[in-house]
Amino acid sequence: MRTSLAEKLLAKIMEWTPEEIDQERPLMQAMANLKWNEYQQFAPGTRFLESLIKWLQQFETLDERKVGYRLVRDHLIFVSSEQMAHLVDILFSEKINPLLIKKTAVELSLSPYLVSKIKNDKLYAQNRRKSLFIGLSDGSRIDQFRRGAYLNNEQVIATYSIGPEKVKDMLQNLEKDIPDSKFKTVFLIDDFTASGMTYCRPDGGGKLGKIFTSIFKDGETFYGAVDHESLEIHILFYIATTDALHNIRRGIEGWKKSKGLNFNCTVDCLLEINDTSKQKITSDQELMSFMVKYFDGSVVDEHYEKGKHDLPFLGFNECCLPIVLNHNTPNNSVAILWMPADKKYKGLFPRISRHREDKYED
Amino acid sequence: MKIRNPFLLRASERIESDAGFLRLYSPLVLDYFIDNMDAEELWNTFLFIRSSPGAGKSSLLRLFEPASLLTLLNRKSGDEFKELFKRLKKLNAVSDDRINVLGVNLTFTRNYELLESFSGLQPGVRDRLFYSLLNSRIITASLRAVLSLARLKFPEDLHKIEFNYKDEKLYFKKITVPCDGRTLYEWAADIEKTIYELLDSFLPISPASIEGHSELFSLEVIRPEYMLVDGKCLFDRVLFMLDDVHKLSSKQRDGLISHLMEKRSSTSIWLSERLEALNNLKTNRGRDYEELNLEDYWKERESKFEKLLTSIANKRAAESREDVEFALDAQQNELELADAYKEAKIVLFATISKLSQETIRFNEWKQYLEQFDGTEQEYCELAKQIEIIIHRNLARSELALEYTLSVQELIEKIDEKVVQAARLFLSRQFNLPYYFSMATLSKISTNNVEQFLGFAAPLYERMLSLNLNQTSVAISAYVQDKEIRKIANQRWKDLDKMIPESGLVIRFLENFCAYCSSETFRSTAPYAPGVNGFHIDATRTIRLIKEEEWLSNDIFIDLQTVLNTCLAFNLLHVREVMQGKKGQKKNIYYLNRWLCVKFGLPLSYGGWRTKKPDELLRWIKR
Repeated sequence: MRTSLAEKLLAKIMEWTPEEIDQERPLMQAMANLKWNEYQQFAPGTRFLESLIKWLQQFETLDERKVGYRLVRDHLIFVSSEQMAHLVDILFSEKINPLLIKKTAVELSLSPYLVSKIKNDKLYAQNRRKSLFIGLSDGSRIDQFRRGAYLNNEQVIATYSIGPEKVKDMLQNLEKDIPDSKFKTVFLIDDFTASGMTYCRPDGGGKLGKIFTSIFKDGETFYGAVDHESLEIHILFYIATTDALHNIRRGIEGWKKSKGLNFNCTVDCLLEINDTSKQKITSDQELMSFMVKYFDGSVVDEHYEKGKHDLPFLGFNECCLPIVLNHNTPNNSVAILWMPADKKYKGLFPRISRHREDKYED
Repeated sequence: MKIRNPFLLRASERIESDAGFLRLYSPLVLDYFIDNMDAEELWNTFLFIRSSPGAGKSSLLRLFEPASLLTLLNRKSGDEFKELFKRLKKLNAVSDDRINVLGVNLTFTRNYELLESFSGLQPGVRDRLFYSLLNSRIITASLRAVLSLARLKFPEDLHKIEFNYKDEKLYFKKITVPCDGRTLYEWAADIEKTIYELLDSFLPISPASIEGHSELFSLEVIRPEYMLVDGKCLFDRVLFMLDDVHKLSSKQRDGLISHLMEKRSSTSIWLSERLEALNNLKTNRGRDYEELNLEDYWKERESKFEKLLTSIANKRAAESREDVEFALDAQQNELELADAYKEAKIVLFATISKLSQETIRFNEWKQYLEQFDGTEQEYCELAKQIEIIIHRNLARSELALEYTLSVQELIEKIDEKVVQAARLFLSRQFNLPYYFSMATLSKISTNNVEQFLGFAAPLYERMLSLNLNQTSVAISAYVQDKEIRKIANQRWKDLDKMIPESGLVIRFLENFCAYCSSETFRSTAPYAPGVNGFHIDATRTIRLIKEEEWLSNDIFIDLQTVLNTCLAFNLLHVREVMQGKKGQKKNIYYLNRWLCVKFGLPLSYGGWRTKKPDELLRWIKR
């Protein structure tokens, strides 16, 4: 659809006066060009403006369309690929390096503020080499991270489920560089968490349990590759909500207790999202009733029900986020932003679900 | 790529492509050169180009850069470039098949000033380093310009330039000339590098290691006959354009100017600077230098300026991807304003009746108004004019004879000023449009192109919106007035972020404008159409301070700051008038016209009051 035609349609369905067009059109154009057009799950050929028009058209009254438009204009937080790349680039210097310096400082009995002295010591280089970096999903962009931080190929892996051969290979390479050594620090990296449920679930499931088992259970993949004496595990996200960080920390403590293990483990992120944006949405009654009305209950499946779901329109675990990531919208965002195209009401940035329900048999 | 609203593009530096720049450039300013000098005179003059920011200095300089001229030469027959080419050909800057002038543009930045504040150097050494830096930069810029003109690449093709200057005056110490362009470039780059090392170093470095120069010889050695490419001379003359001279320290600027004046070589040198660096040159304009003050130039050519803006607006609109013309209604839409005029008609007649109820003097005038056969708007304007004249008549102190004044007398009393004042009073009283039409927008722009764009951009955005709504794109007078006032209000709000000492300046302007307003809207309209300027008369109050010295007296330091800031930031502008004794000139400080809009004042010139310095000071302190 030609942009001018799309803009004409938008002005028509929003019943904008010329004065409103003056204000809204430059804004929509600028934001679409800057970020919104790059959403990867738009159908081929579709750009933001078309999606916005189709999205607004499904709302019955002008007032509802205005509420929908307001959600986009005033609340939406879109994380572009460029913004995410920036977070990837700074993760090492902002979060990882300080941890390595601190660890080395303790071992050298130096104050952690003597940065140059610590970094010039070979122990720092060794600690850096003895770190293992594991990406927890595609979103972790671990390849870009490795190149930006100048890390050895043999200490960075894109997934935690790898074969014992690969681990053996990595260990041999490490021993070539530093004889008789094992990995002392493990960094687990992912892009985004809103509820923390993917990592630690109340029922004991989640990614972290699996990874910890593969590290601490004799005979499992990583058991022989790490130095259990001085092992540190750091879980790092580019973006996380405050709630998710709490939940994960709590989950880890629970896991440690249940297994009778004690090890140094931290959870941190570069960009922490507190509940201000959630409160802004939930305190807006007009917006809340709009979201109740335009919710398709069929998105609630067994996976969805693992989180809180009394107000399912607020997204998975009622996180109520206004966030869209350039490659996919998290299901923790408000549902009207992401509901897939096959539902009664469609999201503005339709989401590709991780748990597809394709039917292969009658 | 075409954009939605090209009126948002500012300043030549920020318009990237040369063709884009040329397409948007209006050649009308070149008429200054065509009208005032013959071609030879132009190229042998030392020329100052002065204005406030945004009047078009850098754009004018950019026009003469090789890249712009080459683009123009390639497209000379295209409709949008024809006029520009014709004018530049008249100036002998280009011929049909060749570019005659090598434009070397050097933009000063604040980092020259750094040299001046570098305390580790003796003043003499500092000057030598300044000239070294300038020489090296001018030579580098010239080499770039030559390559650009020859359509060669910088720096790969530097060796293709032959620099065959015979170094009779021994300017070059570290290289042997004649040499090729690369050697010359490396020599210049080396000087620049060593100077920066000196500035960046924490430790004392001996400046002796740097090649210091005692004069600006670069202007002498860059001549057409000394700069050959493939054995050929590519151009007839060199034009050195030194942009943003006000960014030098005042000592550097003064030194540079007097140095250039002393040399008075036959090279063409243009210096462009903002008015903030304005001071007396103590030389003879005409003999030693010429000055083009862009705003002054347009001031005297109001209709030409409007033509320039129309041409700029058309060029910009043609660059929009939306294909919408820039169109402003020049007349009020009576249909749209019918209700307002209907109400005004009743109120005005009642006012006149009330004013004249005690006397029979104005009976014929009232009758004339009642029987007036015109549109509602014309009726209201006439009524307001009569109201003003009645006020004036009633204000007379002498006892008037009670007889009816004739319509003839009324008509004689209604001059253009009363007509204008009535229009202004009407708009204020009944919320009718006053600031509308292209002519008004041109006045509001106060001889400054960037200011015009500042107002035109939101107006054009409205035209685009109207187009999107599939209605007529021409903005009605009522909406224009509303929008223009809105823009002025926004500018006013932003003022405290834009200027230094904003607290003082804003208070001063508020008080001054309140004064203008009270003087303008007196019922007799004594200074019709209104007051929007002042003249400073020191003679009448400051008996203890000599008249010519009041400005340098410490008591008035805040006033000096405010006036300087207002002039530098184009909030006030000065016009000379002849008044009083024969040949006596007075400087009138007028409000920038956008401030007139903000405070609902007329846009005319001529309405000013004389104020004493201490009265002005009170406007700052109050």
